[in-house]
Amino acid sequence: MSVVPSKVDRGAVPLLRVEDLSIEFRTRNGTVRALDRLSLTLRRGETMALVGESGSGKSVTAYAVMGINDPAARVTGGSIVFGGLDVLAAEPKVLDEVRGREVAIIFQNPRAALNPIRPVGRQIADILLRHGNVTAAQAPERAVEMLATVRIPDPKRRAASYPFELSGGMCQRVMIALALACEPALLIADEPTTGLDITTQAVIMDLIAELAAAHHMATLLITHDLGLASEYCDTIAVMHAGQVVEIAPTARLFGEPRHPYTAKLIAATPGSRTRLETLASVPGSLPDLRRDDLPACRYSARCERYDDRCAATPVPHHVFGDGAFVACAHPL
Amino acid sequence: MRSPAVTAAPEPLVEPLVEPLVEVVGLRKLYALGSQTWRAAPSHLHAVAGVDFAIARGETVGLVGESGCGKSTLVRMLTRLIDPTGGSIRFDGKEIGSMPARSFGRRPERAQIQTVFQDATDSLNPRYTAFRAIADPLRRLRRLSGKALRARVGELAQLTGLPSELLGRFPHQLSGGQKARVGIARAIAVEPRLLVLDEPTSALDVSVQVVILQLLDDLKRRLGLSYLFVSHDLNVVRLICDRILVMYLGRIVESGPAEVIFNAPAHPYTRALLSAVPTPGVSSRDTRIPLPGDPRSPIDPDPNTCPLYGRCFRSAPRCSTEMPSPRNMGGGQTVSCHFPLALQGLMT
Repeated sequence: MSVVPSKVDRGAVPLLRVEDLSIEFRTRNGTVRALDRLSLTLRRGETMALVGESGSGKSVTAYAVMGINDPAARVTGGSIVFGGLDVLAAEPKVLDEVRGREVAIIFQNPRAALNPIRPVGRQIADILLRHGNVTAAQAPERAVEMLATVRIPDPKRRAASYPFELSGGMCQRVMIALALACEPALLIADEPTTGLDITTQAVIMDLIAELAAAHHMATLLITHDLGLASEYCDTIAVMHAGQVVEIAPTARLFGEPRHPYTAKLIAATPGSRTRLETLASVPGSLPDLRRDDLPACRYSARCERYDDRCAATPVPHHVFGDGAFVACAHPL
Repeated sequence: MRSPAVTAAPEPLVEPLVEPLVEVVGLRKLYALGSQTWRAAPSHLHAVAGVDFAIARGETVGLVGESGCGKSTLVRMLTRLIDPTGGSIRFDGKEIGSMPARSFGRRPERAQIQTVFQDATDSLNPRYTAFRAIADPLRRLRRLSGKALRARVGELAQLTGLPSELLGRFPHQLSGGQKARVGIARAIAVEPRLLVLDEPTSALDVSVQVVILQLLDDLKRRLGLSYLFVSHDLNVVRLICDRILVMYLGRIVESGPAEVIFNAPAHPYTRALLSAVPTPGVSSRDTRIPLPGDPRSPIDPDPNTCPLYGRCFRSAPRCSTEMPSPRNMGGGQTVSCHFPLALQGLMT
């Protein structure tokens, strides 16, 4: 099978640029404004975490980058440019070639994401045949190699296993093998270790980090665990109610958070030294994204620094030299 | 947000006594598996392979370990939902391990041991309002009805910081934190002495998790409860527990005061577990202790081999010929290992 030349330029700088992306979902109960003017950039080899509470729009962002949003989703503004390709304007056929080959995703629940009635080796071979430059004879062999890469013991025998015969950690390794089979330029990992044990989580995350470094791959890690994000990512983007409120290099984000929400989130996360009395919750909850009168800054109703300047539209963005920014009228 | 009813933290109502509330000795649960050939003796899965521990009055004991280590089986025996294969469970000086689980629900002891389940969404009946969920155990175990029932449910809602106007709502109309409060109110409704908390915050966002943990800590002091806190989030366990039990493959491999376990773990498994915890703002990747391979099979395990043998970075020949017995490390710390780690080992 001949391989269609890719429309994606892996050398593009930056590799991924999302600008002012707004997405809404039309539902029976009203229009959910899931993303609001979201911007982020990712360079080759960079590892970025998207963190935030559930419902903050982390997964919607990831799926939008993959071009796999729900039929009810409507992009109301902005752009996604991945390796020079305009993802929002691209033909479905072009996107089919990009997904799996240039950008791959690791889903949250590997057992649900894998085909339950197909041996895992065959599933990897399918991807290779679809996107990789291999013959039907080579594919099974390459699949076994991929299983060995993700350190599955006895890969030859495991290739014939069905997902139900493998443990959660093993299934997640198969997912990683699937995602990395064609050496994508961008890997999206959507809560890749939720539901796994803590020691397995460490092994899986180390594996992703190591393979990403080896292939100079950009990684977008979606997680609600600030600890995990800080351990594995160069940059952290904090999301709240569909808005990116702050992007900063990991050490700086923890050292001197600039957005009030980031500071609250860090103060609520238990670490190795915190005490129960010193932890503080984030007051309030996410606003109802179906409201027509959502404030410009969706955190304003929960914010202690709120005053009339916060109503300004759009929310002032303070940009710093290293690609970092904070969206707040009163940054810390 | 902590409700005003909860912020005040008075002194504990119950004086700690010398005798523990719960005392578990040699508790085992074996599951028989179908034999391969009909003549062969059936093999057994050793879910809990003999554990000893105690919970003092007013104490919070953390139970940590990875999935499949027997945490859930142990908890289900302790809450008398399943019958143990062997060993004893003494509760308040009375042997309850021998009472059949089938009829335990009708015994007065049922009210003494209650559980807050892992996912409040899954453990609440979707067709019950919050009021009915909290009232149900009061009707069954306390025979309350009418005015007295309404008063007690109102009191519980206030105690757990659940606004009373939410009592008429169904689970799908409540937020995660509110559902967690309903689950807690239901569990403390019949005034238990021991509350088993099975990952009570794992389904919650960090922003809400803190409030629920603080609520639990506060309730413990106000009501003089003892907690068995089951979790795999070690950063959370550390916050709320006085003492920790570390379980691996059906056994308690290490136990001791939380402070000691977290600062000077003596068992290689505990140390590996702690080294895997991601902590905000700190990178632990360089100091991580790997646990290669998979746990040993729990089916007919060799009684003379340490459960961690083969994965342990300190494995020695002795570990495969002699099961380590618990040894006292002083300061309340007990470890089942032939080669426990000294304090200085941690610093390197």
